[in-house]
Amino acid sequence: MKIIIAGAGSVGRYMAEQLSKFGHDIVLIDTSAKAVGRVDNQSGKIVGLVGDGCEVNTLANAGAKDADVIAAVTGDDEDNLVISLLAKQEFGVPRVVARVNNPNNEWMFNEMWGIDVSVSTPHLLTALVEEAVAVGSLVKLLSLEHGKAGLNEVTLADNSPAVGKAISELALPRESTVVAVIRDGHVVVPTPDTVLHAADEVLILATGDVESELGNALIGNK
Amino acid sequence: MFGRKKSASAPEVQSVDGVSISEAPRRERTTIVGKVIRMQSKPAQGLPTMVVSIGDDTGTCIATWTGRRTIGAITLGRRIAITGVGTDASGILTFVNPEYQLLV
Repeated sequence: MKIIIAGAGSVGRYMAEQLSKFGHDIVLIDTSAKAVGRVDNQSGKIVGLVGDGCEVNTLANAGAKDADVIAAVTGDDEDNLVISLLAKQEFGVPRVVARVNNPNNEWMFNEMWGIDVSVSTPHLLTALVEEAVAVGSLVKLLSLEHGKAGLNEVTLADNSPAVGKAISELALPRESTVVAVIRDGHVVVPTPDTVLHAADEVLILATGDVESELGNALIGNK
Repeated sequence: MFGRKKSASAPEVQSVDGVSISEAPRRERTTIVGKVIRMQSKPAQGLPTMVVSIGDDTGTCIATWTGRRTIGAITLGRRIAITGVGTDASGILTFVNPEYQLLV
């Protein structure tokens, strides 16, 4: 796959190094030649480009026309928005990923700015901390399809109505599916006959509008 | 008063060269000529977006303009030409913020 990464800070360089190791062709753009030069190009698959990713010409030179993915990961949210919009509007890049630096800006990182996936570190950290401390509540780990669906996690409390029941016996709503159960550090591949225990971590893929029904089935009414 | 009245209305042209919608390439700068067959103003997570379906004899495509609810001159049945880079969004040719030209 051809991937363009705009922003050669520690995030962009790390992404370029990792993704190139997996065999992808990377173009790394930054205004600073020094930042681009610092990337470790062991695989020889990273092409550095000094220029402003917010300019159409730079993106054209980077080959945005046939790129599969563009990742706008500069430390500046305004730049990330401009890069994303240009990628979608001028080059029709199929997958646009953008980094949110300031969580207050997250509301803008959506399809209106050409963004398919936004990644906000503060948001992610909050979700992970919530996941670590919350037993018996539904935590959204990941949004998919522009937030229409999501991966949810619940650690079953002792008094959960799901404890002792097989998955087929749970009144799970349509448009939701149990994708994995994590028990004592092992991944249990769920079948309809898998019986849930207290302290199981249950991962459920579901659309947003069935979350309250999911809560009823796995947590119960409080 | 200053002879501006005429130029204030959008310039209209008779014809523009375009490709038919069914043959339009993806991810290349393209011009499409067609009629507005549907208009929709939808708030994308609270932000306005104008979604317009444009059809010719061969098919339909979608143009979206972000950050606005309406474009005064674009009305149902209007013939327009749009120029932009089209992509496939759920199988439908879609243009984001294309340039547009009003046709007679």
